[in-house]
Amino acid sequence: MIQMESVEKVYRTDRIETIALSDISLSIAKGEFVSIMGPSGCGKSTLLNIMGLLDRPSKGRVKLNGQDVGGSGDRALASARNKSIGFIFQSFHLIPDLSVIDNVEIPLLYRSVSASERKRRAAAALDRVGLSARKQHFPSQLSGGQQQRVAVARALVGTPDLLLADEPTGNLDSHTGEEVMSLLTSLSKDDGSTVVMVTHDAGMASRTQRTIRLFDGRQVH
Amino acid sequence: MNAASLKLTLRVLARRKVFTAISLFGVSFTLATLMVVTSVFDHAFGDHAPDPDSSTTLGVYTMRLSGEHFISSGNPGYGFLDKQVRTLSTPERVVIISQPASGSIYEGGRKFDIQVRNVEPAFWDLTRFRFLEGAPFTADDDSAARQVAVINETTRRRLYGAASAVSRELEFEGRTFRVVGVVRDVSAIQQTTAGDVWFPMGASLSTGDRAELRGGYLGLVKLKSPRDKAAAQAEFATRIKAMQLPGDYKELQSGLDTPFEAVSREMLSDNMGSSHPALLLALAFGVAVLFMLLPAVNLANLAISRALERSAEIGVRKAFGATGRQLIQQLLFENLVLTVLGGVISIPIAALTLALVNRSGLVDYADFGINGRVLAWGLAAAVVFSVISGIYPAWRLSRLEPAEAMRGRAS
Repeated sequence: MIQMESVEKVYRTDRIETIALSDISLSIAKGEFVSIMGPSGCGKSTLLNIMGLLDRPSKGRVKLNGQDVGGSGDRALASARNKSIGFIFQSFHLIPDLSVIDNVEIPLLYRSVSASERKRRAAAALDRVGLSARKQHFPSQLSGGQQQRVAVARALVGTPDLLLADEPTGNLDSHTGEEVMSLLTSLSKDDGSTVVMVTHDAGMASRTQRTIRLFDGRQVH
Repeated sequence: MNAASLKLTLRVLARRKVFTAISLFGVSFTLATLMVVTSVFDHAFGDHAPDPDSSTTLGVYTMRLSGEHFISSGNPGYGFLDKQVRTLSTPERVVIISQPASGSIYEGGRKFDIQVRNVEPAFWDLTRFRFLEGAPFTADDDSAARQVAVINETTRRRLYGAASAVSRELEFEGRTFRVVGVVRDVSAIQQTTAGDVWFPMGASLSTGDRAELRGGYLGLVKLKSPRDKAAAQAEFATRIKAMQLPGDYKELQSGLDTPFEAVSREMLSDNMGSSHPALLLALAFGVAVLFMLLPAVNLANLAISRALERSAEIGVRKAFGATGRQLIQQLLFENLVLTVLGGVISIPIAALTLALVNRSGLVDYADFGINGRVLAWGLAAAVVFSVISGIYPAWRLSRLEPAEAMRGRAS
């Protein structure tokens, strides 16, 4: 599903050069449930962003479904993100001016899907995360756990091959965190989705099939 | 862009009240100013009654005579218009009228300053005056040099109060004229028809005037059809080229113009040999764009700071498949909605300003207002303003990497 070869990410300012990732090579197979662990600032989110084509590596190659995405332009990257990848963020990143159902529809806005079909699929995704009664609410009217479930619905509404979750339970209490984790586990087991999750929580990581560990931007074994 | 985009845009604007208020103030003030200027421009050069139908009427407004050591520009004389313009074969008819001249009327021991014009009787057929009472003077009045006059409604009120003016007398330059008709006031900006009192040419024209090459007159040329314009202009150009000029005059330049072409001839042609209406229009556009530039830059700045607040949203949209182009479209659409709202607010502001100008007396009998043409130009200005102020922020935000955009601020 994903191959990374000798990936490096360096952030440069006028005076400082910060190496966020160094010589990362890894492969994630289709259907795997993988966690990424490591202390704060070790490059976990940067790695996930590069995997999800949200950021470009400074060096190295990234392949998605066997295709090198290094030289891809804006349209090709946008299309790959739209069709192949679903994101779940720690801070939810719901759009406050949109209702719950409008937030869930976002990935479908950038495909040729009719408005009625968008509504139908978004409603089905919300039903799956148990929030069909909250369709017309706004994010600020929901609890943190509910907001993250909306974010999960948004991530899976476009039926992507790959789900990337950046500390999806980091802002949630243990009970709602468990609910979200169960959802991800079900998506992996029942739907065969490839899931990559960044987490601090060893307990959550232990429920995945494999853990990639990072320290100071390097992969450790 | 669809109804959902419009709904989202309005919701965003409602949520960011201070930004929206400041932006709307800037946009509406700028557009209102442009609409006021456009309205004045439209009244001066647009098709407004009682001016003659602009599609079939041209005029000889100015001329330039040059000799070896001198150049002289001004209005044509009656003699020139009578001999060289009236005898053209392409036009249907030619009407000679004088430029407005200041004068005084004495009534009941009081002096009234007025603008007087001498016009040929066909002037009343060519123009679209509305008579409030009486009728225009006739060809018989003109040929018999009868001392009759048409006055406007303000002159009637000043001279006779609320009473009827027809058959009343007025004294002008020691002569007594009988009023035969009263017309509505005409804005002084309508140069072809503006005036307070109109006398028949026959009652006023001196023998000397009849032969003058230069003088305070203009010739109105009525075409059979708008398609005859080029032919009439070419015939007039050939005519003046072939003219035998008296005295030291070596060259005469003039043209058969619309009022706008006449202004462009005076402003933009070195020797008045040609008119440049397209260039003058382009210059006017240029000035309008420059005028919009400063507030547009301010709005762009505001839009950037507002959009940076929404950078997380931009990041999310990119993460879920929006291309840079789609984001530019979305942000430009939002800016367009804001500008059109500003445009709607600017309409009553412009209307109020024009009403104040009308009442101020800056322009006699000013009747500026907002019509379909002014609204259309206002809308065009709003779109131009929207693009100028929106394109840079939209382009800048669309170029952000999604991860970078989402780091801006979490929602």
